[in-house]
Amino acid sequence: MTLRRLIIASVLGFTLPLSSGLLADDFPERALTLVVPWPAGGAYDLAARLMAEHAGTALSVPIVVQNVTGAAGSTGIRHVAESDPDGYTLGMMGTHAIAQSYMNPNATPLDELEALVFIGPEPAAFAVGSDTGITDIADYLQTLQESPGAIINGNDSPGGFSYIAASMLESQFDVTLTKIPYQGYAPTFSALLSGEVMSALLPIPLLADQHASGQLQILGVASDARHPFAPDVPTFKEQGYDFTAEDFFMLYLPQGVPNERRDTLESAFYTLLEDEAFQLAASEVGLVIAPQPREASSDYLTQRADEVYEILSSANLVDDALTR
Amino acid sequence: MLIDSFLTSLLATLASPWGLMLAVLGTLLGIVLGALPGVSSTMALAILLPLSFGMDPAFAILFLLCVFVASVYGGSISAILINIPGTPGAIVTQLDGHPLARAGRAKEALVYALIASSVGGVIGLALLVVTAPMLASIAMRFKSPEFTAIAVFGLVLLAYASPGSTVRGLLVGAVGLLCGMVGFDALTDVSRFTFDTRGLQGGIELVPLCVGLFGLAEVLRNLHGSHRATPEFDMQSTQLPLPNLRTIAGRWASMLRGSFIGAFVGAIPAAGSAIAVAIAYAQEMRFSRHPERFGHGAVEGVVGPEAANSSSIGGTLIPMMTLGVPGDAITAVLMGSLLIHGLRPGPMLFAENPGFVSSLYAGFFLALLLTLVIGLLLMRWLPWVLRIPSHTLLIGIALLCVVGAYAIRSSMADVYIMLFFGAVGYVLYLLSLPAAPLAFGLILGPLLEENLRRSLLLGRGSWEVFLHSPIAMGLFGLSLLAIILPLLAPLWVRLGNDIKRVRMH
Amino acid sequence: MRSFNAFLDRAVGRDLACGLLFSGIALVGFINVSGNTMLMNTLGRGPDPGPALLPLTVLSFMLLGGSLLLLKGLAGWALHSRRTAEQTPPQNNVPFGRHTHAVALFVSLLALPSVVTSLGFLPATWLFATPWLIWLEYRRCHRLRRALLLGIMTAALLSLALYLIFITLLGVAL
Repeated sequence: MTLRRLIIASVLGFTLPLSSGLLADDFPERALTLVVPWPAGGAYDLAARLMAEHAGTALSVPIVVQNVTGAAGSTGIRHVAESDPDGYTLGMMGTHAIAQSYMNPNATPLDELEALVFIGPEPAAFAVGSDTGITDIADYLQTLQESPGAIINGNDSPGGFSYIAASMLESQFDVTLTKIPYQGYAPTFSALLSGEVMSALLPIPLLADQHASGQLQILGVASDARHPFAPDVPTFKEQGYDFTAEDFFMLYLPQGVPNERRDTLESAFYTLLEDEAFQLAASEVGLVIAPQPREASSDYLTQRADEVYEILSSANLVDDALTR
Repeated sequence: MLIDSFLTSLLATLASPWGLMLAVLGTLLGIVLGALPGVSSTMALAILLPLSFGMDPAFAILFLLCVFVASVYGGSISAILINIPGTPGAIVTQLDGHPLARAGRAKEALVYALIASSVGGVIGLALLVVTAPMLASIAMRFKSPEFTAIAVFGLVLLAYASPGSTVRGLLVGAVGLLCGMVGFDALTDVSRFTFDTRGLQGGIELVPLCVGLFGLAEVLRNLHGSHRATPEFDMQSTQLPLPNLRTIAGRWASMLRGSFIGAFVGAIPAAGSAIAVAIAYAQEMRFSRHPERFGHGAVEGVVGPEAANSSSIGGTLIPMMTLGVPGDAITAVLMGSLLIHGLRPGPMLFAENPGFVSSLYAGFFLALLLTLVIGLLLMRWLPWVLRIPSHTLLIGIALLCVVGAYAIRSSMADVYIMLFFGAVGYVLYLLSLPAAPLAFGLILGPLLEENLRRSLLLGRGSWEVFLHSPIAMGLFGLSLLAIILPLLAPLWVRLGNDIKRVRMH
Repeated sequence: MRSFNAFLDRAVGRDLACGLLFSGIALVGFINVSGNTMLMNTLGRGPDPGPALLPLTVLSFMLLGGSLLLLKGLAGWALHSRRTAEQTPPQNNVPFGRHTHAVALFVSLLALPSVVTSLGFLPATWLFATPWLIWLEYRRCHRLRRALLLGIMTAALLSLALYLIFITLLGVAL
């Protein structure tokens, strides 16, 4: 019975895209592949699958999410950069792609990618464990100024966003942290909860519940605006510190996609991201959606690349072959 | 009160035809997907996740739990029948399950695996329900030094888990450790052993390695003899009467040991089922009166790890449910699906949505029940599967290995890695070296290195961090004991004989 | 080939081969680590042992173990060859070409990924499976027509089933 059901299901799945393909317009006439460079379960994957779920509002074809993971996210980026530039393969990236392009000579250079639509920022929040006794940013900075390196901060390994955010904090306030690397956000987060590390800069949806239950305390949001998941926490700016650290989600194409196709995709995804139902679903899982068109996205990418390059080069992490 | 709401939600699910249908569908898909090599439980969940978007949250989580639980058992089907672990958690099931199948006891092995899996699952669930808060607080005490100690303990057990010469087993394990170092270093992102190729930068994943080492190598080995009649799958012997309940129940000790190991290891964030089954297998071997039978079809070698595999599901749900920390990749996907439905696991879930928590427990129980029933029903088709001529099966498996290795993360590099380890497995077989330590080394190596170095970073270079952790010291003590005991065992036996002799006089 | 099989079937030969294998891997590893300047530069810096220490430790252990096995093998071989000079050489009944099929399948699998990327999944797998199934069936029953018919059909069924399950149903992008 299983087998029969499987065959029926597969035959159905096989013929449906064919028949719909005959009826549809020029482009797109088959499913789009959206490459996510991280494993299923993370924020990137969540955003991509939400977009796939709501694809019907703006596209005549489905979106298939594909997780191509490995090598700190650079495998997925390369997968897109080296795919046929026919517009059917697009990818999602963030700060990691910029960092890898300067740190890893085997990673894809940014000029092989073309920004399509900026999806939204992922602002970081600065949190400390509840047993540290630190209650505000001034307190934290004072501790560090009195004894540099006294605070143990949990973060990614050097190419990851939370490492870059921690480095930005260091250079902004001229302090020194003891940075302990973890493999991704979830282990960093549990280290913060267990008290192995004292502070961390992480996305807010991850921290909100534990902040509410008092297991950790968010000192400030490193963004221009407060976050709906933690409306009681003021931003750094409100507290008088000019500090922002945001990761971001952006859709991109391999270089060389025909202009009409690129424009079709741009407007379709822009519509999708502006869609009310999509925005509602996204805000429920704590994603900030603030779409920007291609030109603006491209400028944003260049600007972020400069920032990240500065941080990496002052930390001596830029590969010799990739110095500007 | 807890039991009440548990029963209410169980009955509510059973009463709704839609929910029951979804659960059955999920179970079927889970068993089939889990049995396909290369489709891990994680992948099965990720693939079916989009299907659950449109469902009611309670049904969605029920559906996904059924897929999850069933795929765990499904993984052991292919491990037993064709010596390819369908899921990473089944890597040790095949060590004894496949020899059983070759001896014509495939059905028996499957029944044992299924029952052990169900028992383990129920125990894991019971532990989840009863001890979640307590276990979570212990697991939260696991910081880097404790993880280091766990890895050391695992490596010591590994030395005994390899059949044959311990030194050779350790050397193969060392190759596994080296394989675990390929790619970016976890702490500094420095690349190691990549030989300047892009494909190796992503590191060596456990699944392609296992598919090559255990799947393809097996094909290469058997191809030569495939023209002879298929002695492995003797139709007569698959029709042998199944072991009766009493015989199965006689394995309760192995099942219990496996279940507790599985639940506890699973509860430690980031440990996962592959480590749980490795430890359970080594434990069974240590406890067995006939350790020499392991690797040649010891029933305990199937029952213990299968129970551990299944009960680790309950274990991994503990940190997820109580702390909002996914224990492994599978629970990360599960958590993702909860998030999509606006349910955030964590301390607040128990307080804000207790009804959902009990319906999750009920769904888990139903998933176990359905896996048992459907698993038993599917066994009727087993002889049909086994009637496939061996050469067709071998070529089919070879192709499955290739597709499966690719499917994990859509990477051709993984296919070549799989092929490479197929060759390695064949060479190991020619040299009569055990292959399993290679997989264990790959699992434990990164765990050891990352946590050892992080502990030292946290201790600012001093090894004293380990002295300050009673759990780590306890585990180190256990490891030492595990090394010393076999040295003392002969003395013990001699002492016992002496006593006997004295009594006789 | 025959002598190679016979060689591996003896414990002494296995010792030698294992020793060579492990010390070989260790040597390749050492060359790779010492050639990686970025990795070697991390030694002795900072509070943790760095990413180079554990590889070096494991490689040293492997080199030691490999050399010991090699020595054991050499010693055994020396003793053995003295003994065999007096006795008759051991009989072996290992058939010639025990490994031909394995090697051939491995090589054809090695070529499969690039064929899949150029021809597509369905034709590539069919092209791979058909000759193999025909040959293996022929080897079993020695009837050419039956082998041809069965082989072509099973191969088509096999690749179609894989295609339907993995590509269509699971959406694997091959």
